[in-house]
Amino acid sequence: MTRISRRRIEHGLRLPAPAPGAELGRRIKDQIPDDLFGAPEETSRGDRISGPPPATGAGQPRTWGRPAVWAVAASVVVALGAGWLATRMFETADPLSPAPIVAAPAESESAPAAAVDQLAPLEVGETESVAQASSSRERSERRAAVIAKQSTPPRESSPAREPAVAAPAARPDSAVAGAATGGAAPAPDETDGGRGAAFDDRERLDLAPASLPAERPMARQTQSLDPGQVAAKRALAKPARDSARLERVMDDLLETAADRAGSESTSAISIDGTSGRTAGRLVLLVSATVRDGLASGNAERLAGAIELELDPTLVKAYRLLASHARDLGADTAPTGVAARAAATRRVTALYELEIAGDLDRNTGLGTVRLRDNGKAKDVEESTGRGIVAADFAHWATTTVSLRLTALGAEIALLPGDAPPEVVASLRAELERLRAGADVDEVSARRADELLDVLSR
Amino acid sequence: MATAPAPASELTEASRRGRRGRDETELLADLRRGDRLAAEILVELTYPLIYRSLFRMCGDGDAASDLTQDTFARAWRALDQFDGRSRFSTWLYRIAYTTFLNHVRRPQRFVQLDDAAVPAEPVAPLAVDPLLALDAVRLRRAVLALPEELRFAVTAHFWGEVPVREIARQEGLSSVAIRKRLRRAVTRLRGELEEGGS
Repeated sequence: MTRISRRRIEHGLRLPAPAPGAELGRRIKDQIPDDLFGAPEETSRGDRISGPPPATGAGQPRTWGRPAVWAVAASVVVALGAGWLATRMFETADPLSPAPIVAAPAESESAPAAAVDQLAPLEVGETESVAQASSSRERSERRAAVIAKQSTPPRESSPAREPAVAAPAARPDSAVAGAATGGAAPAPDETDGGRGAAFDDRERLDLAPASLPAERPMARQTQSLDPGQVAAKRALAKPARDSARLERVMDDLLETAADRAGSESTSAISIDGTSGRTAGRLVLLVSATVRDGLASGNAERLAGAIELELDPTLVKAYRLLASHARDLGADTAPTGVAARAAATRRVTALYELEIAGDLDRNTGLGTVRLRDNGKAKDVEESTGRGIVAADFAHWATTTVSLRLTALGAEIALLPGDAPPEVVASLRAELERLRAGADVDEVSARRADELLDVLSR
Repeated sequence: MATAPAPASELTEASRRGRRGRDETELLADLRRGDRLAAEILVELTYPLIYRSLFRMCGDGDAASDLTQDTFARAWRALDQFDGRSRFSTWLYRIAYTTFLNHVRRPQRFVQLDDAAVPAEPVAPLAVDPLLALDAVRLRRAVLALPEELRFAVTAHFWGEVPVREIARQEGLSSVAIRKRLRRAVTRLRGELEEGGS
């Protein structure tokens, strides 16, 4: 075996890369958007404020020299920043994750206004026609033509009852851009720019109905598990259809799920899943018990974290639909640092996954890990549990509670101007569930509450 | 009232030279005041680094060039989210890294038959020693196969030329923790490469 020194590896990692051409710099400069240069007295969201701009770090004028002014400004900036960040995080459906460095503002702005149920896959011939195009520009044009053709006569809603764990028929991701935007397919140059990659973002975005926030990039996601943070972020986030009632129902539903997971599972991590209401989507419920972080000597950071790692060849995208965290035994434990060091929390999170193809029952989709670095500072231990296709029951046969939780999360993420067909589809599903023979009294009441929230 | 951006053609080279000496914070402040030249200078200062880091990640000049443009496009859209917690270039590197991950993880929609016939072997970065260049391909693969937290630390530090302290700020960890991650990553890489080379 060849022995490779650490120094050689580090040297290899530092190998020089070629310098970019000046042409690239010119192109990038040409692409600087003019709307970047807004009025300095306006915040990024257009909210007018008085006084200097609230930009943190980067944009403060040098006249802010006095410490008192700095202190006040800093607190305002922190409050504004936290609120805004929390709102953004909620919008990306991920209130628990660390601050996203890259959200997808343009994607969320261009969210389509059609229901996912209306999205129809390309016909086989259409797919081939697009695939046979010789250049990316031609592909884009053909795709736009197919999209326009598809979107002119609106298709009937696809049935919600699809076989469990089944992907949409033929390349839905390439089919839906025009359909979702009502046939107003963007010009090829605007979307493609001569390259396939630029187009892909919008295609993937358009897969989601208007109610869905933009997808997050597929990556390992580490969640912070502080219930206080969750509450604060929820309070700061302002979803259009949010109400105290909806929040309470969702809390109840997730708490029920957590109770069930706690009582039925003997492992630290419990997962449950169902196929989504629409083909190609799965709903995954993860519940885990984590320890508080004070044992690590760090009062601010929690020790436990859930990590979700998914196989990108099987799962195209995922998002966090809802989450819930609560202390376990906090009332009975002794007070003070010792109590917090010993405290545990149960965290429950609901994800939606978009799968890339049909899955065999035994197909592994990824891993849920519970990372624990509480035993010693910087020492991490993790326990994991694989996610397989068999974990996902068919939507029609899954438990009422899981279906209700998924529907509630979907309603909570609906924007105020959600298309009526999306709302109607959710209402129909809730009514179907409500009329089912397996609905107990509590679930029926929650379904009624969700129906009531939906009708407002 | 919005300040109208000055046309790039009207910007004199002298003005450009004078402004290059300013630091990122001042340029960002200028940019927020509606100064297009500040944005252009920020591009000039940062795009070579972003291109190089993306080249090291994907091993392909054309792809690196495309991804660099994507990175800046995303950065302009997300500029409001830059909170000054780290340097602008570090923040930009994070965007480049995410853009790269999105690129490699995005399923290929259309595979041209011509492309399919050619194995997608990344090009080795420039190296003096051909043996080292050979290693570089394996090395890149091994780096990209690392767990996320190690991969980010390694790529940011070695390929993005981001100082450890900046990575620590970005990740909300201590510098010591980042150094430990780097050490763990290198140990792991050594194991991978030794295994592969045996």
